[in-house]
Amino acid sequence: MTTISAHNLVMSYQQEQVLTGCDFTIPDHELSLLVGDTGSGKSTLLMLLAKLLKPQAGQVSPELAGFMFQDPRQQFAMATPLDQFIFIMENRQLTAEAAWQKIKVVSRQLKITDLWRQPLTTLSGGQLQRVALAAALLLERDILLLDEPFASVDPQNRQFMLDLLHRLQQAGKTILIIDHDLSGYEQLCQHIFRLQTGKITELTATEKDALYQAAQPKQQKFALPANTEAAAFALKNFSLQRGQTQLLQQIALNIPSGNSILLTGSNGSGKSSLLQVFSKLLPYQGHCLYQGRDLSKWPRRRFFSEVGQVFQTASDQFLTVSVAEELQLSQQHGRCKSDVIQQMLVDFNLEKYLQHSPYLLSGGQQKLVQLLVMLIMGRPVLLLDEPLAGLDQAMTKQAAKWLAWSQQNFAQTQIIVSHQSGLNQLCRYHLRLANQSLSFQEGLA
Amino acid sequence: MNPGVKLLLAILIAFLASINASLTANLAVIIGGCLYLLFKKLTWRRWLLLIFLPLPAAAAIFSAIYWGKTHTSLQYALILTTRIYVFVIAGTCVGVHLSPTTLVRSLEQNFHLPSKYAYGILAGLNLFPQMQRAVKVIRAAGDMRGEFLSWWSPRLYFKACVTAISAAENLTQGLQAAAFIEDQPRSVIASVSLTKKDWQEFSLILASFCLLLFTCP
Repeated sequence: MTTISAHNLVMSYQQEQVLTGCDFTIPDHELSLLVGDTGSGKSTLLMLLAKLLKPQAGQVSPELAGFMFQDPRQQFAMATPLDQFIFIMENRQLTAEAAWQKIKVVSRQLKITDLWRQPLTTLSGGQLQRVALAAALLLERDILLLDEPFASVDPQNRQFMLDLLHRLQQAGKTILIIDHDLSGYEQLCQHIFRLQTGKITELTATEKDALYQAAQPKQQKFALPANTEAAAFALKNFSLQRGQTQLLQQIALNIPSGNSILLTGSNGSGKSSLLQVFSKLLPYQGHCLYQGRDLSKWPRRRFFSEVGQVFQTASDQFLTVSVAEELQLSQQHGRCKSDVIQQMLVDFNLEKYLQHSPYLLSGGQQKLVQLLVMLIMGRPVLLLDEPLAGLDQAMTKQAAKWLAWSQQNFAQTQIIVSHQSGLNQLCRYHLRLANQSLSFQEGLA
Repeated sequence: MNPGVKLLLAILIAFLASINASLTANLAVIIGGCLYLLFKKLTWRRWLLLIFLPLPAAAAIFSAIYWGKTHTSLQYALILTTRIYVFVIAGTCVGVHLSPTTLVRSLEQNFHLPSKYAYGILAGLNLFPQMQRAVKVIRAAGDMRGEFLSWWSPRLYFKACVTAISAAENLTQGLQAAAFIEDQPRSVIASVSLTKKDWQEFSLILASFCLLLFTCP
């Protein structure tokens, strides 16, 4: 038997009950989805099912599962993918021959053989998620529990990972996935479960259809910037490397100021790295100008009073011990009035978490706090790296609304990296990174 | 040479060099070590670090002993000064082109270090690059919020501690999710060989060192 089930599960987190007597069984040999509002306790539930946490009361079925963490960095104890795979296989007490064969097969399936010996710290978010899925598959367990496995994965890789999971399910695995972005699941996923106010219910066919409808991506046409537009950033004979890999070679490019720009590209193409160049966190060759002046010539303080970034990993953004203190800190130097901040707090559903530690909030809530503290600053430039990871549809709408407000109110330049379509409507321009070069495009590739 | 044997040899040489005073033996280790590092093609940056990093400590010891109140002999001052370089060079010889993973595998496979220590240490070492990155990101995060964190700012270190603590907690879950269970037997996939030749080389080097150490001034 490979059943995932729970009986009368109770769990609280930071004095808040997230599971109040949960009872459910996930159907065997099928691919099911777990949805729920941001902060409803989905990740906690998944960790309970994987026996990484102990429930306060109730039982979960005893079978062990392959598990993939929401933050892929948490998956790894070793320095490179290959060392991690070997570590897993040694833990499973496999012989060298059997282990190598399995490592090769899974690596080929996930197209990560070329990443084997690269330090994990140099991999992009999407590459890490593919390696993390490989690590979960190498356990060869009948159950797979995956917490937002595609949050930083580009559309092509997402589709190919979904196809792989579909094949695994047909071969008899039971798979449970947490995801907010439902695109691509319609044909594969038989059951959707919703976690709400501490209980789990399965959605009816009508409710499922409504969810899928809302997830349909809309066709969109972007404008192309005119040559006369003032540039926020300009690249000249610019080149960027990560380790031995050439990411970008750009003879010239102007990124217009005062607009929202969507930055897309496949996994590992260097989107996050480019944002890190713009926030002076990564070295590069050639010239990168902000307001016509080379980045290296900008004094640190002056520069950061102009440019802010919402990091890919939310906890990187926090500097204090409570949400309230985070807000205070931003308010001291920020440009938003208290009534606006109050309204954002209400819209982001964060008022009751003011005294909580930001590190202990759910993944989605951390994203919201992070967005909030950077919106308050009202910097002329805001760089956003996967700001929607872990957000449900309602919160995605709120995030889009406040980003649009901030863009208009502060005439802000926003450069947004997101694999989810929730912010596309917001963006006037679309900048595509492909074949080591950047270009503005009208359509979405 | 097997990494574990090499580590043992370096520890023994450092230990013996500190209980007996012989300038010849110290110089032999320094010259021998440098030749080995040349053969291993140490990068010039590492050479500079190797020479200049211990220099303040070596100079301080030399001046304290030689020009200090007790007026000890030049020979003794030089012995203590070269000893610093013996430690550093012996350590570098172990570490040159050796990944922590290989060393830990060797200690686990050849020297029966319990796997919970081996992988606890290794996972901790692998957090280092993450911590380095974290400090850089924390400073930038502060700058972006108008909170300029200097190198001595308590907030920087507080945040670094929070990051380290949460990394340590995550690590336990990460190890568990990789099917690691304390004290459970593990198989060997990436094996580190330990041969008779390793022990012969070990004995030869150690014996020559002892000979110099206990016979030459």
